[in-house]
Amino acid sequence: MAQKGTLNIPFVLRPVGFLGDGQNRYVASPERYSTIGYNEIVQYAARAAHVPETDITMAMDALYDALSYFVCNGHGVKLPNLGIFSFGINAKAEALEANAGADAVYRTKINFLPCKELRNVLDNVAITVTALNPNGLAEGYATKATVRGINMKKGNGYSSALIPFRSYMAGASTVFVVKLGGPMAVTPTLSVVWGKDGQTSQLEIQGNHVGSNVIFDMANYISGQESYEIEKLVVNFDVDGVAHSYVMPFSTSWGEFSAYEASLMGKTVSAPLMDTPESPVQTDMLVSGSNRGLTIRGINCNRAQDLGVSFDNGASATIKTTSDEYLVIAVPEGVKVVTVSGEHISAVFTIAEGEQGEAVPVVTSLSANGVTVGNGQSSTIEVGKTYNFTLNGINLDKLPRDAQSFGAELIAAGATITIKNVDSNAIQFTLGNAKAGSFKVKNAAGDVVFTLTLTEYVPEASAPTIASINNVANGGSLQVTPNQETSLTVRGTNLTSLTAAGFSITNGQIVSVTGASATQATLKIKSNGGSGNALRYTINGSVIYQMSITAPNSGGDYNDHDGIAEW
Amino acid sequence: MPRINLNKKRQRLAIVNAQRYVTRVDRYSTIGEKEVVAYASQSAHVPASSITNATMAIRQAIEYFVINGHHVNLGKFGFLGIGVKAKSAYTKQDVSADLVEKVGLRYRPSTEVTELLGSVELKNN
Repeated sequence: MAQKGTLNIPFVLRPVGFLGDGQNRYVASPERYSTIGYNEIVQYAARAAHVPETDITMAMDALYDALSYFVCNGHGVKLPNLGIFSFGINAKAEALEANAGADAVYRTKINFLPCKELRNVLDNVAITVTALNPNGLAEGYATKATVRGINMKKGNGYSSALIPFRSYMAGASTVFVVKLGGPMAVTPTLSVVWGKDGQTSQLEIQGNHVGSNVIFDMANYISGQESYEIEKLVVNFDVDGVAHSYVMPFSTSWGEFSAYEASLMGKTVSAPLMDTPESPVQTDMLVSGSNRGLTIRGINCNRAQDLGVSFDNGASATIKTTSDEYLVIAVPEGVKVVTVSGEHISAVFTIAEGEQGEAVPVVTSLSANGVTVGNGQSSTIEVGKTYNFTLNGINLDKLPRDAQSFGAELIAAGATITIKNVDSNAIQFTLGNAKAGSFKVKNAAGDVVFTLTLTEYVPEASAPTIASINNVANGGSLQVTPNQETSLTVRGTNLTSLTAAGFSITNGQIVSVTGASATQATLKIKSNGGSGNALRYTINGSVIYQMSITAPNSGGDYNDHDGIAEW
Repeated sequence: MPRINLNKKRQRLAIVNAQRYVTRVDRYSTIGEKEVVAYASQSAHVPASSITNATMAIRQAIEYFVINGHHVNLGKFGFLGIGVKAKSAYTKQDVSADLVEKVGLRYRPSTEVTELLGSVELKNN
């Protein structure tokens, strides 16, 4: 299978003399990253092809001997898997034969014609071009830059991909090397936050581009005798005028695995690694989807033995690390809860799936005006008003939104529901002419997936006060003939806001409230009789009026309708 | 002492639109892979299969590093790297991948090869 690579070819603005016009042109100048040493080549070849290094070295020496013998005696030499080496010269063309020949030769060289495989390997290379000014800084072609990691090199040449958190001492010999992806519009700065003797200070260090790396040399900022404990490293840079800031991940000890991000099925939780290492991010994520690979990003992921991953069905998690920077854990079918715990990160993913592995809609809450209520809870609304609600959850775009499935009871009571926007995680809708009652959402199968009880809220300033019902004050008693509709006169203030829903009777039913004026209204009830019957009026959960209902001839001998006992 | 024979040939050079004597190397034959491997195996006492495997491994290493922009040091042989043939552009807006006509391999001999070349005797045929 052909290998693929990427070449960056900067075009540098420079004067081109042979054009004769003295003007500058953007000329291709391939970016050379580094020369891979012979020993590294041999090591790589030995690893890749499972050939001992000694064999490779001896073979190359033997081939060189063959080349030097044959080529310098006029032969071309075809080395296997490499190409043809031959002797070449540069000589002047002479008008006279006597001047031609060995005397006309001014250079000897070795010509190399690569083999077909090597010639064709460059066909699979993606090329990116950049326009650079003479200072080597990109002009307006950088649209994205990502920090890939950090290599730290001490003055004694020791290097590591890690920095122990809160325990690393930086001195004048420290050089930070940050590898950047993509060309940069400006040189980034490195913010180093460090502590000494209980004091915290911050240093902004300018970097120097060296190829695709940026070098931050501490020697220019601190003296040779000082050393500081590093608490935080942040790389800051601008791309097309937009500021970016990247907090470098740390490890708590040298070489230890540390995770700063976990993602499953498109949902990602990132740990605030630098700010609160003692209090890792903890989150419950509701996810659904088909990609069941749990991806953990961090440093030293190839040493992730301490990462805690557990499934609710007790299955063990197999950690596969293919890179220092990330690892992927397969989540088995049937697992509903995945818990991740490790250095600086703690996350719980709850998976919502149907029997066929399809994502199912799950409603978690309803929110409006910054207030959020969950499934099965209640909330108060002012009757007749309009509310903008947001239904929250996952896969909500799969919910039917017709009048039978979305708030059917409220619609039947006279409210209106207008869907504004729908996406997977939210349905925004407007509830007009709000009514008290149950707001229910059903799925495609007709099952209720969310219920919210809406109760009427009456503003206190316009709340009714009941002075008496049929001249019976609060706490009194009234005789009502059972099993027949009885009209009662309600007297008080603000009675125009009196509602039948506010009344309740223990044994019986509230028929209606009609003819309300500010001070008087007519209440129709039907009592079922029995003892302990009571009529109440409630506002916002508080009982503002109560009286007991008794049947005639109870509590004494009554034989006429005027309520006066006759013996 | 190694020796290279040179030939002279009279031919028309278009650049000067005239006849000139051009000096060229009298190259004999190209030694094929099998012969080279057999010679190397015999002289260095290295099995021929090892030589072939080693060159295959080296080629894979070259491919891997070179296509990602690195230069590769092949020890005594020299260096291999990327060479680009591209047109120039007047303005940065004109800079694009279309300007690149060809991307190829470039060979630079090592010090050993350069010194070896200096020891070669050039002789006219």
